Amino acid sequence: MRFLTTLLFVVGCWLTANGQRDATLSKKEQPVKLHGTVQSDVLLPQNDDAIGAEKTDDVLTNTYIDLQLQSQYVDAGVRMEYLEHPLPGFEHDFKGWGVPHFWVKGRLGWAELTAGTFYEQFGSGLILRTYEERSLGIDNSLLGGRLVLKPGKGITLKALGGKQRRYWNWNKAWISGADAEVSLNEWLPSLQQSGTELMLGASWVNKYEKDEDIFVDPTHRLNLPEFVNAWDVRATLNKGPWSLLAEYAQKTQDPSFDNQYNYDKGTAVLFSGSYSKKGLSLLLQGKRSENMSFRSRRTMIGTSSFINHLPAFTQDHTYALAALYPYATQLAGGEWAWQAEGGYNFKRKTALGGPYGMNVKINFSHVRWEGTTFYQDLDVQLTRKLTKDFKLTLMYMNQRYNKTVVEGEGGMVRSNIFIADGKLQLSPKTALRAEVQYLATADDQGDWAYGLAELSLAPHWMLSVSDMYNVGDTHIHYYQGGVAFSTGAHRLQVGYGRTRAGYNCSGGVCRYVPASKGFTLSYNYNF
Amino acid sequence: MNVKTYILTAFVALAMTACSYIEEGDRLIYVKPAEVKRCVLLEDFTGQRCINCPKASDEIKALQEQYGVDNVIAVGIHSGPLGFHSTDKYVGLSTDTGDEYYDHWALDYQPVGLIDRGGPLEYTAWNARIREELAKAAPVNIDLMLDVQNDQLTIWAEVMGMEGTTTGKLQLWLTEDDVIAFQLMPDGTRNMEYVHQHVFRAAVNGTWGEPVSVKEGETFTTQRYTFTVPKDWNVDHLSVVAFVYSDQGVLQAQKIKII
Repeated sequence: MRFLTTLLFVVGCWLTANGQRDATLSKKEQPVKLHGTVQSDVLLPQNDDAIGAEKTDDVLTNTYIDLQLQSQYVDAGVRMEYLEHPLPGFEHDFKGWGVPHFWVKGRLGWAELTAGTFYEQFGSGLILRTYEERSLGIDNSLLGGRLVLKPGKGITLKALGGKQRRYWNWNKAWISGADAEVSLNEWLPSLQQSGTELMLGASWVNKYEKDEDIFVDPTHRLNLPEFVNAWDVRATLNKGPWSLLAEYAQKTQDPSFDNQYNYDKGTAVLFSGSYSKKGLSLLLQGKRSENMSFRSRRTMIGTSSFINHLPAFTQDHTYALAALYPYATQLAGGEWAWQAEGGYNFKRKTALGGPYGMNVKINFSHVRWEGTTFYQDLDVQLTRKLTKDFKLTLMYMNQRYNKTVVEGEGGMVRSNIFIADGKLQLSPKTALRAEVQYLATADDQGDWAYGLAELSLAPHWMLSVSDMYNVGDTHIHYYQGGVAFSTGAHRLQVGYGRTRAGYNCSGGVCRYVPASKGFTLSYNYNF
Repeated sequence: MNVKTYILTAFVALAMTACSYIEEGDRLIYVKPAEVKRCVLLEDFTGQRCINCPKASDEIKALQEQYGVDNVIAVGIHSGPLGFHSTDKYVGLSTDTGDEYYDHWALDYQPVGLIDRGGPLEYTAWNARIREELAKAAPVNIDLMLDVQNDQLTIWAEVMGMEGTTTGKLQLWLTEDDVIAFQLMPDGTRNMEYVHQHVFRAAVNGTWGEPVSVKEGETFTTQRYTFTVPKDWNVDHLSVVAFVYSDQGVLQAQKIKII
C-alpha cells in the first residue's frame, strides 16, 4: 500500500509538473495551482474527578494537512493525518498517522477518471455514501477507481470499484457500483417551455465479501451470501417554487451483526417536498427504512465501515441545550421518520413585522417504529430586530428522546427547552451576543441551564465565555472560555474549560464523547 | 451512442451482477463437532448497564453446553463504561482490576470477548474461534491445589511441560457464580434479580500473574497464595481459574470449584 501511495503521489507530482511546464508554453491553458488546508485541534487534558475527565496523555491532537494540485487536465491530492494521540472519544483503531488519502484525477472531454481514494454519493446516499466527517471520526472513502461520463446534455454516468477505508486499513470486501442520472428537461422541449426540471436516477451497488465462519450453534454455521446487491431509483422535480424528491432503495440478503444475522431484504423509501417563495418556505419529508445497515464488513460493530447513509429527517440543532439529546438514525432495525417545517418572514413596517421585520420558523419531527417513539421535537423560533442595533431570537422546543433506543438505556426523556439569543451591535466593528437557555425535565439528570456571552471585535478577534450547569442532579458547572484570532486565511483559537460527556451528532450519525477538561487550541489555514 | 444504447448497456451490466440468494432451508451448514485437545479461556468483557450483554451470556451458556463447562472456561469481567461499581444502594460487579484489563486491551464496545487472548471479538464470532483454539495442542498442563479454612483460601498450582520449553506467566483468578445483581436487558428493562455467572472477583497473584518457565517433562510449582474471602461473597459459589499465557496468547487454562 505504501508503494501505491508513493506511486500515485509521484505520478501526481509529475503530471502537475508537466502541467506547469505546459502552462508556461501556452497561455490558453490553465496554470497549475496548489491549494491546501491545515486543521489542527489540540487538547492539553487535565484530570477532573467531578466530571470524570482523565488525563490520558500530555498533548492530544487531531491534525490534518490537505494538499491539492489543480491543472487543466489533471488534478492530484494527498492528505496527511496525524492522529497518533487523538482527542478523546474516538474508537481505538482511529489512532495512527500517515497518508491515507491520495488521488489523481484526469479529465478529457466528457470523461473523468479518478484513481486512488475518493468519496462518492449516489442519490441521497441510501445505498452508497462515502464521506469524511472529522468531528465524528468518519472517513469511509473508497480506494480504487471511478469513471464519470457526461456523454450528452443532462446525462451523467458513473462506475466505480474499490475497497473501503477503515481507519488505517482497507476492509477486504470489494465494493462496486454504477449510477445514472438523466435530466429529462434537457431532452423534452415541453418541459423546458414550462420551466420544469425533471431528473430520473438509478443506482446499483454490489459488495463482494468472502465467506467466513459464523456459528449459530456448535455444529452449524451460516451459509452466508458472498454477494450483496443494493439498488436505488429516484426522481426529482423542480418547478417554480416547488421541489419534490422521491426515492426507493432495496438491498438483498445481507446477514450481519447489525441485523442479528437475519436474511431479510432491506428497504428504504423517502419523500421530500418543499415550497420556497420570497418570505415563505415549507418543507415536508417522510422516510421509512428497515434493515438497511450496509457495511463493508458483516461482523463490524461501532461507527465504521458503513457503505450507505440514511438522512435523519430530524433537525440538527446548534443551541447547546437543544442539542443535548440528539437523535441518531437507527439503520439496523427500522424507523418511520417525518419532518415538517414552515418559515415566514413578516415584512418590515407591518403590524406583526414591526419596523424591522420578523422571521418565524416552526419545525416538527417524529421518528417511531412498531409503536415505539424514538424521537420527537417541536420547535418554534422567532427572530426579530427590535432596534437598529439589537436582534433577538426566541426559541421554544418540546422534545421526546428515547434514550434507551439511541444510547442503550435511560428510558424516555421528555423536556421543554427555552432559549433567548440577543445580539447587540455596539459599533460598526463591535458586537456582543448573549444566549440564555433552560432545559426542564423530570427525566435523566433533570434540569439544565446555560449561558453564553460572545464579544466580536471585527475583523480579528472574538472572545467568549459560557457555562452549562446541571440544576437537577449533579450540580456540576461545565464552563468554557476562549479567544479566537483570525487574519487572512489563518484562524487560531485558544480556550480552557470543561466538556460534558455526551453525544456529538451530525446528519443522524453520533459519536460518544467522554468528559474532558483542559486547554484547547485550534488552528485552521486555507491557501 | 444514443439513449437506447445506454439503457441496454446498463441492463447488460445489471444482468452480469452476481447475486446470492439463499433459501430458508439452505441457510445452515453442518460442521463436525470440534476436536477437544485443550481448555479455552473466554474473557467476556461485560457490564450491568450493557443491554446486549445478556445475549453474550446466553452464547456462553450454549458454548459450554456443547463443549463442556470444563473445556470452555468463561470469566465475566465487569468493566468499562457500561460496567457498574457498587454503591450504597446497588450491588456493582465492576472492579478496578477489570477496568484495568478493559483499558489494557483497548476495547471499544461491550459485550466483547477475548478467546485465549486473541483479538477482541463480538459474541457471534466466539464459536468459530473457540473451535480453532480447542483443536490446538497445549504445551503445558495445569493442576490446581486448594486449602480452604473457613474464609481463608490457600491456592497454588503446578505447571507441567508437555512440549518444548514454555515461558510465560501464570495467572490465578477467583470467580463467583450465581451472583444476584441488577442487569439491563435487551428490551431496555432493568432486571433486579438477574443471576450473573462466572463473575470475575479478584486476581490472586497480581493483575498480570507471575512468571513461569518450564521444559517438557518438568513441573513448575508456584508459591502458595493466601486470600481472605470478603463477607459479601459466597464461598460455596467461588472457583479458581488458572491459565498460562505468553505473547502467543493463552496456552492452557484450568478451573476448579472451591467447594
